[in-house]
Amino acid sequence: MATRSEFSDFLEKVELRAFKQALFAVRDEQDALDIVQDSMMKLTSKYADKPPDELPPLFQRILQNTIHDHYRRQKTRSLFSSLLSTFAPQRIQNEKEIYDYEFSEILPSPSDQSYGKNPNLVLEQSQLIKIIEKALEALPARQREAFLLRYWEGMDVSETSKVMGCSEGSVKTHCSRAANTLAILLKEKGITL
Amino acid sequence: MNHDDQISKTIVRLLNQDLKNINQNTATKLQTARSAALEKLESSKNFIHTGKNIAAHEGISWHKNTSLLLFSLILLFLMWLSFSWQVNHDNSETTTTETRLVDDDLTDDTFLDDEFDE
Repeated sequence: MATRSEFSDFLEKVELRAFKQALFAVRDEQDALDIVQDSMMKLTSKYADKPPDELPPLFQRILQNTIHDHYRRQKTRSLFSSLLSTFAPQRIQNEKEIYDYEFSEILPSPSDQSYGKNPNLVLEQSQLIKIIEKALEALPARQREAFLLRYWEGMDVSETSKVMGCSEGSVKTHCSRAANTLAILLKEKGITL
Repeated sequence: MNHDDQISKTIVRLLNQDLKNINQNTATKLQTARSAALEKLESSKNFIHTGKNIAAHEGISWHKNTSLLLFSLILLFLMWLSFSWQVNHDNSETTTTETRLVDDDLTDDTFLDDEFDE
């Protein structure tokens, strides 16, 4: 059974990435914070007896389920308030922003000594990250989920498939499609990774 | 390393760098959420020690208790069935005798209490 300090260390390690994942999915900072908090609460209240090595996949599963619950609630709310049509134009607008964005391409490298010192470089870097984030938001939910779990959370295909509740083949397909889509979106901006 | 992996790793590196730029307000809120979750951990651990864990450590699982409860219910039902059958049987015999007395349709070998009192 994980101790309090192990839970604390684990949550501290994953909270920022979890927040970003939720933010990519729901595109609202307050909602993303709520989702992360709900996930943390569920983990500590229901799975306090789990060993530390089971926490990462468990937390990711809870996080993804909480995001899906949020989608469902939002869908129900939108049905009742008859604002269903407002979502589509917003998405198109977001995609439009990606394509309309003028980017002066530059890729930072870890060996670049001037990184963090040159204001222009820092600005360009933040612009690049914004473009990548927009591209991630524009990905289909399952592709984004697979991509982030597999590459950002560092899970292997088997773990990712368990968290997502699908086959390993589906995970590979989602990851490959996500990487291709991201490469295409970035290439259209003149960025080659 | 294939092309997909290369793209993915570059994107992930950028995303990780961006985590450092998260604003202080959000970081504080996340920290508060973490603290709240850890408080919940303490309360849930207390709950587990008083309930689920004691049962688990003593080898008593919920399905065994359920079986015991079900067995007790069946036993009670059988006892009730037997008792109610006995009561009904007694009642039917009493009713027959009473009916005969009321109808004055007594058999020949029946003697009333005051028949020979003169």
